[in-house]
Amino acid sequence: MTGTVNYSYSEFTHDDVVGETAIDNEEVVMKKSTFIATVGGTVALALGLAACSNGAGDKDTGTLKVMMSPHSITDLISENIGEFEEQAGVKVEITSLNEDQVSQQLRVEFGSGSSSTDVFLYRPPQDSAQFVNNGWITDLTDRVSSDEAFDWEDFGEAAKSAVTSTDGKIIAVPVATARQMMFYRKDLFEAAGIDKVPATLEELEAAAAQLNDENVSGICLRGQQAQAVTTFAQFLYAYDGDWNVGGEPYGDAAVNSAEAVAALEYYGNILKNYGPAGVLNMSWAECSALFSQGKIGIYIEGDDRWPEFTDPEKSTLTEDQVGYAVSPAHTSLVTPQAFGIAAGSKNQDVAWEFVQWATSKEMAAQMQGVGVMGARDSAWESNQTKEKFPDEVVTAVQEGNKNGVPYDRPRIVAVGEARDAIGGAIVTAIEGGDVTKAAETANKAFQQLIDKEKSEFNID
Amino acid sequence: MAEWLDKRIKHVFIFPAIIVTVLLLVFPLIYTVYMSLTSWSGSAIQGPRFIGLDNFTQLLGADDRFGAAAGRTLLFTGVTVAFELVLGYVIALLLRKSFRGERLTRTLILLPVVATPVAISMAWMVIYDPNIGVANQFLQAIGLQAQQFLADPSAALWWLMVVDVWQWTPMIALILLAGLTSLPEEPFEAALVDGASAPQRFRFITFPLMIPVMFAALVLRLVDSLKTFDIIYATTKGGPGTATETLNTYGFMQAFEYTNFGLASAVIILFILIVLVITLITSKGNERAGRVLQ
Repeated sequence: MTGTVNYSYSEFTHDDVVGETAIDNEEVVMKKSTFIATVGGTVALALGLAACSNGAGDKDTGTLKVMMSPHSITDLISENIGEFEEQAGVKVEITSLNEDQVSQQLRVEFGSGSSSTDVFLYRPPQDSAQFVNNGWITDLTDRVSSDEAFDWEDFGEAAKSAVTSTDGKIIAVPVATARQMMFYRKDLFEAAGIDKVPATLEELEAAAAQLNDENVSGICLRGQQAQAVTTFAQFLYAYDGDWNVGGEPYGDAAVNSAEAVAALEYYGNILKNYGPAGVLNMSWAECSALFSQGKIGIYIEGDDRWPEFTDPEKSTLTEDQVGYAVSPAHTSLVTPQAFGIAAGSKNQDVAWEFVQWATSKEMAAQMQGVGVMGARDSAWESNQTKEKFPDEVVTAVQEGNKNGVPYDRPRIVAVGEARDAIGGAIVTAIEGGDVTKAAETANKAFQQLIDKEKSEFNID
Repeated sequence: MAEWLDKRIKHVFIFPAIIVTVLLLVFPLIYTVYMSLTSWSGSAIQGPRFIGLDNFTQLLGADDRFGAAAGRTLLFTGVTVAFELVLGYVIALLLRKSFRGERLTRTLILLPVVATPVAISMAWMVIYDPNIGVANQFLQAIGLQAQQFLADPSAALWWLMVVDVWQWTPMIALILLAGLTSLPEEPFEAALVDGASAPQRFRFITFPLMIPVMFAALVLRLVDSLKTFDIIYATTKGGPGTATETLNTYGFMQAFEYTNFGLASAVIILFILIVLVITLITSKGNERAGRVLQ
């Protein structure tokens, strides 16, 4: 009975790999590999693109291949990699691609069966369902729990739940967490006579309105279709909405509920009235750039961005100007970065050794020292944290953790498609269109995806 | 034996070319057709399921995004190619007479053509930025209203067309210029003797003689413009919403964002059909124009 395994309601037990092992299904994998290699190549050719994967790599040559995105985590690991190489006796090759490219590249590599990647730093909310369902990622449950020095209990609850598949397998080790945080301009608040940092949605809207003038936009939130879903999540939860009925990943779609429509309207209005020009094309990169240039009064985004706004090389703002507070909406807690091990990796032991090293207490403390918002509780108690982080930030993080929801987007395999569908309604809301109708359309598309997956993976 | 070989040696020589064509063109094409009849999300556990023409019926019936993307593809191509031909023609006519700095001008004009499309897209994104870009500063300096450019769903596609026209008009101009300089001189001399005015010479001699060259440029640009992917993906990724999504970016999203490989293949097959029909119509037009001339 191979083939019917699902992410959330699996009735199977697996030893090595969550989902079904690639090893268990070698024949199937081979068949499919040719498939995806061909179709991938064909579509790429038809689109006039260069072919993607660079083929088979050196799996047994004592080289550990790690894929990460540019981040202070990556910088710190690269700097210290010599230490690990010496300890483990292997060479480590780090490939650095941006987050979306990592997801895309891994999907093509894994699907084609030509992957040479052993370890990857990825975004669990975005990719876990797919990786688990397709048998692409290694089950780490035994590894994390069998090692006392590693101390799995040191990781925060929400962080742990974000890397646990719904059938209870631990599939990755979180490195950094992020909550939604409000960044605001203290000087502009003062000039506008706002003496209270907004703590509710009404106060947020009022402050944005007061700050908004010719030179400065009141507020920036993501407006780019799929990307906006992440920021929108906290507003959806604030209005007591959810993506699905009952919060189950495969519950009925609920993005057309009265709560969701109200949240959409709030999000759309505040951006339409007090957001920057061109917000429909903005994700965190664009919003961050504008905030750094002093053109935004309030900015709500993942708190892992905090160091850049007062970094003289990246920002025109000074420490006196930037304030930090917990988001006036509920906060959605995500672990944007976690280490997973490829199911197809032939270097499982070394790969685990690497993950252990990269997420160890010592490394976590060092990472705090460069501003990474670590997933280990002990790291938040470290001296590095006290030296590096402003008190306001630490307070906001701790407050945020209390109200954390461990997902900031629908948790189905086709999460990209679902985000695009829901993002469509957000775009309509910002444009000032018919929100109810857009929410209906989005809900229908989302429901279709849910239904498709339910039948594909035999979910009741 | 030698004679037999002599007769057939040509087949031996074209054999490598045939292998390459089959491997890189025929096989992938047939495979894409096959894939378009299946449903598969790239899973290592769930294999592709044969679903017949379901993908096609879904695309042509239930999928609003597909129809809209096809419409945008045609609109984008029609408008850009028309502008490029007209502007290219004008530039070619202006460059036809020799003048000081001719070579420098021709070199400069080529720059947009040789630059990488993604780099061009990045540059235009900065130009178009509604908050800090020069485009708005320019518009406001001449008394016009500031624009949202690529963030305005109703206008984004048109602003992308501007980029395409900016990039490819020079190429059309150069092709037409080559055509103009190679026109025979006799008809013009005869017309001068007969006292034809400049507009008359253009209308009755230059224009008809240039038709085959214009068709060549048209077909070249038409196929290329239909395939436009890079400037759209690098600037808007099909957004805001789906306002600039064309068949190419839609196919890409289906394949590499949503891992719906079957549906993506179907999009590409339909797209190939559209390109084929348009190319056939254009080459028919070319033939007819050739016949009229004779």
